[in-house]
This record gives sequence, C-alpha cells and structure tokens, in this order.
Amino acid sequence: MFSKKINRTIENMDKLFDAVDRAQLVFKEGVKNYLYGETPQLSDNLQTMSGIKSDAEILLREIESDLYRQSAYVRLRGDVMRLLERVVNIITKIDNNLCQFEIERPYIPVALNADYLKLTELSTKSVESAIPAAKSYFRSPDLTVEKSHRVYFYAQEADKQAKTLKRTVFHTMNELKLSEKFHLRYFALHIEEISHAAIKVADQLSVMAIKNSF
Amino acid sequence: MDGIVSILALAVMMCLCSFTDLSVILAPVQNCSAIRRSALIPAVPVLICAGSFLTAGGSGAAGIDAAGVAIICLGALGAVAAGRLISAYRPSLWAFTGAAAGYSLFRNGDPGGVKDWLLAAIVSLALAALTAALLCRAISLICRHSRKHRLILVRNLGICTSVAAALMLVCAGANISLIRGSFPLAADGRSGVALALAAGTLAALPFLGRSIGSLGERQFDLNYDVILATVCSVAVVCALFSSDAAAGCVGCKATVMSPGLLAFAALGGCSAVKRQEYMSGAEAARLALSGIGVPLTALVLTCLTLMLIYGAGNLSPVRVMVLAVALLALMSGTVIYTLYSRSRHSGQALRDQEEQINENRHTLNSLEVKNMTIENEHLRNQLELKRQELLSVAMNITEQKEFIGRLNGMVKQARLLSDPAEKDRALHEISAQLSLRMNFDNEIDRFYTQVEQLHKDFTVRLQEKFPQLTGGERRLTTLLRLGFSTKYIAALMNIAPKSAEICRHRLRSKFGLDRKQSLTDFIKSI
Repeated sequence: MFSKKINRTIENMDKLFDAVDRAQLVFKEGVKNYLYGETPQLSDNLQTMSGIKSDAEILLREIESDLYRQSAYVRLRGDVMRLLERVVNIITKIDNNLCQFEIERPYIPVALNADYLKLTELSTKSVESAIPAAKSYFRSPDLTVEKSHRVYFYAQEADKQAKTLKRTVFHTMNELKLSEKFHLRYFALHIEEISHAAIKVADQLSVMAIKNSF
Repeated sequence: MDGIVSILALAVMMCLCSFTDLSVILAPVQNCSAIRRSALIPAVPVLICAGSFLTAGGSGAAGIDAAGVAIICLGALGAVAAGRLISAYRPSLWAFTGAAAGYSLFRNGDPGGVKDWLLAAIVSLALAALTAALLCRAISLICRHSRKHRLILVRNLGICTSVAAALMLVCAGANISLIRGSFPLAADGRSGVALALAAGTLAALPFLGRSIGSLGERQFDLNYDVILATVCSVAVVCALFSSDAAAGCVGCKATVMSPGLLAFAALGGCSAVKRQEYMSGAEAARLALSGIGVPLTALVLTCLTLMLIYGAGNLSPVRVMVLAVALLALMSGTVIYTLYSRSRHSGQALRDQEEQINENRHTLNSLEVKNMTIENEHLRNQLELKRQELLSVAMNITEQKEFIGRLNGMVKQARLLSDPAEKDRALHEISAQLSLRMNFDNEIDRFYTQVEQLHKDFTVRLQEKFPQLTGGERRLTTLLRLGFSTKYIAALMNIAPKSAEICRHRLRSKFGLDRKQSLTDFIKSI
C-alpha cells in the first residue's frame, strides 16, 4: 500500500516534468507559427498549451496531497512543493505569453523574425536544461549543481539576445511608431521572463542540494 | 516497605529521566516523523518495560533502608536542579548513581566503584561518537550511490529510524534497569522495576510532546542519515553497557548510561564526519561539565545530608574535609557562575534599556519636529488668511468709495435738473442703485468663502453627519456656530428676521432636537 502511494507520487512528478518539456516545445512552435502568419496552427498550439497547463495544475495538487498525507516527508515536502510550484509557474508564464501573442497581435517586422526566434530558442533552452537538473535531484543529487549551470548559461544568453533585439528596435527601426516599439519590447521582455522562471527553479535546486545532501 | 519505597523512587527517577533523557533521544526521531505522537504513549513505556526484563536479575543494594532511598532521591533531585545553572541538559540517571555512591561512601567509607563508573562514562561517550561517525559515513555512502528515487530513500530511512528507535528504547530500558543495583530490592523484583520504569515514563509522556518538539527544532534539525546514525549509536552503546560480558569487551563493567549525553556525543561524532557544526563548542563544554558536575554534586549533597542527620559515620576526618572543601568549591563555583551570568544578562538588559531610551528619544524628537512643522504650517495659513482679510477690507473700502463718489455725482446731476419728471427719473435711478447695493451679494459671498476656509473641518463634519441639509441651512448652521444673533443672520442671509426665526425652527426639527436642548450648544458640539 505504501509502495503504491509513493510510486504514484513519483509517477506524477515525472509527468509534471514531462509537461514542462512539452510546454516549452509548444511555445517555440507557437511563436514560430505567429511570426510566419500560420494562424490556424497557432490556435492549435494555444489549445494544446491550455490542456498542458490544466494537467500540470491537477498533477501539482495530487502531488501536494500525497506528500502532505504521508508523514515520512516532513523535512522534504516544503522544499519539494516549492520546486514544483516554480516548475508549474514556468508553464503558466509560457501559456500567458502565447495568449498575449494571440490577443494583442503585435506587429513584428519580418526583419526581426530571426531575432525573436533566437530569443525564444534561448529562453526555452534554459527551461529545457532545468528539467534534467530537477530530475537529477531526486535520483543523482551530486549532479544537480552541475546540471543547473546550463540553466544560468542559457538565461544569460537570452538576456543578451533580448538586449540586442531591443537595441535594434529602438536604435535602427525609425519607421516604427513609439507604441509599436514599446509593444515589441513588451513581448521580448515576456519571452525573457521564461528564462528567469527557469533560473528560480535552478536556485531552488541549489538550495535543496545543500540542505538535503547526504 | 523498603521495596515499595524503592519502586516509588524508581518511578520518580524514571519520570525525571523521561524529561531529561527520553526527550533528547526521541527529538531527532520525531523530526524524521517516523514516530507519530499518538504512537509514543503506548509504545515508549512498553518498549522500556520490555527492555528492563532483558537485564539479568539479581538482588539490589543491601544495607539501604527506606530513609536512605529517600535521601538518595533528594540528593539526586537537588543535583539535577543545581545542574540547571550549568546546562539545560542534566544527566539525571548519573545523578542517581552519584547519590547512591555518596550513600555508599558514607555508610561503608567506600564510594563503590566510582573509578569503574568514570571509565565507563568516558569510554561510552567516545564509543557513541565513534559509532555514530562510522554509521553516518556508511549511510551517506549508501544513499549517495543508491539509484533509488529520493522519496523512496527517505521513506526507507524513516522506516529504519523507526525500527532503530524501538531497539534504542529497548536497549535503554535494559540499561536503565541496572540502577536496581543502587536500591534495596528483592532478588526477583524485576517485574517491580519494569513496572516502575513504565509508570514513570507514562506519567511524563503527556507533557513530553512540547519538549520533544522544541528540542527537535532547536537542536536536532538534522538530515536523515545523521538521525539514523545517532539513534543506532545510542542503541549500540546502551546495549553494550547493559551486561558485564558485553562491557568487558571494551574493558568496562555494566554501568547505567545517560542516553541523552550519548545522543549528544553521537551528534559530535557526526559533526566531525559531515564537517558541520551541529552544536557550538560552548554548549559541548557545558554538557561535559554537566556530565561530571551533576553526579559529583549528587554525591556530595547526599554525603553531607547524611552527615547532618547521622554525624560523621564511617567517614574519616580527611574525607569529611575533602567533602566540605568540595561542597565549598561547588557552591562558590555556582555563585560565581550565577553572578557572572546575571551581570552579563543585566549588562545586556542595560544595553537593551539604553537602546530603548535612545529609540524613544529619537521618536520624541521626530514627533517634536513634526509638531513644530504642523504648527508653523498652521501659523502660515492663519497669516495668509489675515492677509486676505486685509486685502478684502481694502478692496471693500475702495469699492465703497467709488460707489459713494458715483452716487454723489448722480445726486449733483439730479439737483441741476429743472424738469420734475427728469428729476424724478434721476432720483428713481439713484434709489435703484442704492437698493442693489444694499443686497451686498459680493461681500456676502466673500464672507461665506472666508468662513468656510476658516472652519473647513466643521463644514466637512456637518456634511458627513447631516447630508440632508440644504445650502442655506448649512450657512445658517455656520452663522449660529459663530455666535451671530438672529438680527445679523437675517442681514447676512438677506431675509427678514421672522424668516430667520422660522429657518432656525426648521433646523431644530432637522437635527431632531427637543425644546429643552439648545440649538447653538448642539451645533457647537458637532
């Protein structure tokens, strides 16, 4: 009976990490579809994203319920729940960003498509790196810190790319109105925010690795 | 009778031991949450009781009567109370051992195995630290190389800790029951001893929960591997020193241990392996001092109490002197320590007080500054109002002068007219001008504006409390507050005095006043 419960918790956690992985892939696809004007595919991406988000929230609640019901994890459950909440926060941010694209329909000049795609790629890579780091905490805690470094690296690159993009928009694109420039900056900022959410996951993992190391 | 008193004394000792030792050894286990509080109440006394049956039977100490048992208990309790000055943790079992040794010293001139006890104490603490260090290392290695999911690992460690805790309690029960050797008990009195231990533990359990919880948070907020290592090492050492055969392996005899001190020693061993400070050096020093000081104090107190009651007894004068010097040294040490800690606390209290005074002074200064600023602001506003008033008066004078000058011109022109009709028309025009002027509309408006500025608070309060009042009624209320009579009110409101009276009456009914209440007093109270 106890093994079943714990196995179910472990399974749910793995599903949650997989959900984050899928979310970042869907986001990348969604941004590409928007930039190339593929509106029907974008709608599909949004629906998929919405499904992933609701599944993630259900999984989180189930894991929380299981962890708090079992008394063996007093020292661990607070940290684990904080980690998982930050992981789900990534999915929420991704979903919100994709929705903003669909609602606000920013005018993105074709010349900026490559920059936006690169920014999206770097942000999603930092999320992609956070998942194995989080998984390794539970199986190979020694490797957690090592795997977290990649998250910081990609987040830094995303930051640089965002700055380059914003500089391009404000310094070279004089044909754009100020409101359009602000709009483009807003979207660049929000794509960058995804990598910041991945950094928070990495920070939490570093703290947990120190606290609960064997 | 002696047996019954001994059983009671054992129960009291176990009750005390539950607070001093059981809380210490159960605190790290509770942090692991392997044992729920609800399981403590039946499990702990049963396990200790079961453990006490494992110790080989045998008669207790001979030559001690009920009075002796009582004196031993008092001596031990006194030592535990005095030990509070040194450390929060006092080894109560060793206090009883020390008191029993003191009794033996008094009666037989021989403390009865103090050297053996000292050796066993040192070896047991060292062994606990070493065992914990080795176990901690082994568990860490196993966990690090295990490929199992962390949750499964934690659960398994929790289960192991629960089992180890149960074993620890059984071993502790077996070790504690050795204390029967210090009391006059029958040879087959194992059941009595077991029941006494169980009863003592049970009596303390309802109050233990908070102590275990707070110790667990304060002192034993440890990782799972350290908790398991600590529990196992206490179990091993207690088991080892529960029989002569096992204790002989380390060159010692079966001796009553202090499980709490063993737990702290184990923690020290884990600190060395993990390179983390689980306990400060000062705290460790205090614990060591307590481990030596408390049994020694119990020995001295018991001897001296017996001397006071029975005289010098079998003690030689030299030993009496040594005891007296020892007691003096203990008392002086205690007094010096108390004075030192009090002065430190009072110094701290003085510093805290000074800080508080400075803070209050700072707050007072800032309040004074704020007050002065507000006063200055108020004075500035008043000055501004006065200035505006003067300006208003000056403008009024100018206007009046102009009007009178204009009127004078009109009168002169009217006098020069010969035609009566034209004269009549001119006079009519002068009369109209005068009537218009008599309304004083501008002046009245300016007057009301100034009044509202001066009595802004009152206007706001009136608006809040009586929103149903009309504009004219609010003006009337303001004029009444200023103390104007009906005649002036009528002039300022451009109405007849009778109308002013009617307005007053209407206002009374709107405020809901009865005949006895004064309208002006009510308005002033708003």
